[in-house]
Amino acid sequence: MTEDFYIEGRIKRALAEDPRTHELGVLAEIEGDTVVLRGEVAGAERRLLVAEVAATAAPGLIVRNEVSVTEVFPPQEEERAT
Amino acid sequence: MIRVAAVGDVHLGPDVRGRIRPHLDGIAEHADVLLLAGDLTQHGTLREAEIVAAEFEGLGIPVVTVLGNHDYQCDQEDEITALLAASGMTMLEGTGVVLDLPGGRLGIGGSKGFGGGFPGLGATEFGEPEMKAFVRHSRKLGHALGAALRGLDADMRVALTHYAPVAATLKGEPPEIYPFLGSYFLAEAADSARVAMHIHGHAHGGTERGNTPGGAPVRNVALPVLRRAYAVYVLGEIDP
Repeated sequence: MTEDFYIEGRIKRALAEDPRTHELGVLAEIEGDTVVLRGEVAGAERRLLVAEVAATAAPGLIVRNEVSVTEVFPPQEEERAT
Repeated sequence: MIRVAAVGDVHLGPDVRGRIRPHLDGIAEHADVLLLAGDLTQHGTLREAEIVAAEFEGLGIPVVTVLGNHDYQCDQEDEITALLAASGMTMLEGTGVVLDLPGGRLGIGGSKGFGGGFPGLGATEFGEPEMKAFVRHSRKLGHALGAALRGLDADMRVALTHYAPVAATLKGEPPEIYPFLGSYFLAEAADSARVAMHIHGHAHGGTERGNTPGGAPVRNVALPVLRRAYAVYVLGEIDP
């Protein structure tokens, strides 16, 4: 729907520009009465903040937060690069 | 041989303090230098920069860094640069450094770099002043990087940028946003100095491995790509 297109744009802009988030890598898709957020962030608090900012940018819609937190594993074997 | 550790896009802040540090203990046994490929902070604040300084201090190996676009968000990039330099990091922007390491002299040239895209799929200095300014900025950073790299008197040279030099390491990202993820000006700079390797970050959804048109290995070390605290790349001959 036309309106969904603009709402998705508004949410993406808010996630990138809102000083609470500054997240460029989170996708927002409208599915019926729900905004689905997908992507990765660096920490659990940031995961909650993207939902909060998306809800503000799209009032009246349900927010389904499928964003995950990037895990950091120990270094692995070196690579011979030349 | 020279062992280069690298990671980018750690996006540190008070809420994720210590995100990397537990994995950095003993890094000096595995690497001769650590390169940080920008986006050290999430919001580009000095408070976050203090956390970055604490995260990477006292490693026992040199830490060489460029900033990323997130580090510019609060217009405090100069203050962040000064704070990190005071903590012992070598900060590069259109500049280079030569490190006298056990395996030889490693020259590192660095720049944040910028976007614009890749031949046939990018922007040019044409039309509106805003478009010209966008591409000109990218071209100037690329030229400064090339000059810095070529000026290094070293056994091996490595280019360090935040933005990507080639499209190959962007695979996984939507092609529509490639012009915001990198510029071929950076690869041109690296190839002009015959680098042994080009390290970058920025593209969280990209892939780790690619090459410049001149054949130098390109590695996207953005943390969400690596999924490990850092990668180690071995350059040059293996010591007997």
